[in-house]
Amino acid sequence: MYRRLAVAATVTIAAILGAGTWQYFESRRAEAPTIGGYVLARPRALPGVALVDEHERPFTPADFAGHWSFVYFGYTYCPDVCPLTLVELARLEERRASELPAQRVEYFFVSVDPKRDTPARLREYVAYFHPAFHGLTGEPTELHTLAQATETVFDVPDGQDEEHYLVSHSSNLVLLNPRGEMHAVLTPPHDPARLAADFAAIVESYARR
Amino acid sequence: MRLFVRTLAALAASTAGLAAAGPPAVSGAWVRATPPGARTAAAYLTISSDGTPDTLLGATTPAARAVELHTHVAEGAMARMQRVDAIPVAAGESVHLEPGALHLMLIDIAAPLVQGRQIVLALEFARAGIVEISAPVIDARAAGPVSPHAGH
Repeated sequence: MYRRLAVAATVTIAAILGAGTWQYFESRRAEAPTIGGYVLARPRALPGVALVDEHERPFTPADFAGHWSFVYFGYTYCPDVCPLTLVELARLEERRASELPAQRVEYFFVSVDPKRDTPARLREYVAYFHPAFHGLTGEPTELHTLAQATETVFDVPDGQDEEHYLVSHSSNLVLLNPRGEMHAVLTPPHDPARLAADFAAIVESYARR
Repeated sequence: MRLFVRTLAALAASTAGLAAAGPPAVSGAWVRATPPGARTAAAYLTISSDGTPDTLLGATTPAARAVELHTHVAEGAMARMQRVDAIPVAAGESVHLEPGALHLMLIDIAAPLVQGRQIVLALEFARAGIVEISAPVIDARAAGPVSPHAGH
């Protein structure tokens, strides 16, 4: 419990410091696009955590390289906000395919509920929303490390039913650049038109670096 | 807590006078179609009071073992889905249960919910008692914005 609090406090402080730093650099870097969320002043490499994908293959953040990645943390037992977000991401992908066909983009649903969300469960779940979507999960410590590095938080509140528990999680989308670095955070509501416009602005700014 | 709310609501109902009032109007109900293997689902609707306040205390449906009232509360950077005991509807006002906000959580659904099906929901109000409605299952992947309030 104290460890969770400590993690939450660290993440919060990191987020505040991160946001402050970003605002500082933002004021000096006119080329950073204005989006629903924020673009990091300096993209950041991710720590080397060990995850597993929807085909039960090992996955590390190095596998995020070579394409843009939209990453969303959630769990399949979630009835409302997770399916809502995945539907919006599928709509975003439709727009991206027609508006930015040259950009390679992959979508990752990271389950922070490895106890219930096996790779097989993730496979059938993500494919329902889009055949190209990926599922990732891993040990809680690995997931916490990845979450912290991507300014995301999650928590399984204590004292719940063994089988029917809820998980709290950020509703942000994390955008990783083609180097596999943490690049931007997109905040809800996740409107596909807005997401597509924000992504186009980020891609353009990235190309002009 | 739940019992306490129920008692309060019942008290309020019994002492609030004899004015005859119809049940709250329930509109725009729909249920999110479920991915394969899903055990939960969400239902959305709008409750409007025509001048008499009421309180939604719970719901049941043959389509699921249990139904809970849920909301999302922001807790720093995190959205926490949380059970609520009751959803009050003030006189002359409407309460929207919509994606990403207040909703009914269906737990242990009896069968996958696919577009085209209808499910019956029995809503339990403190004053009006049971109000039964039928809600279509909508596949949000194909449907476009299904609620006029979605994304607000």
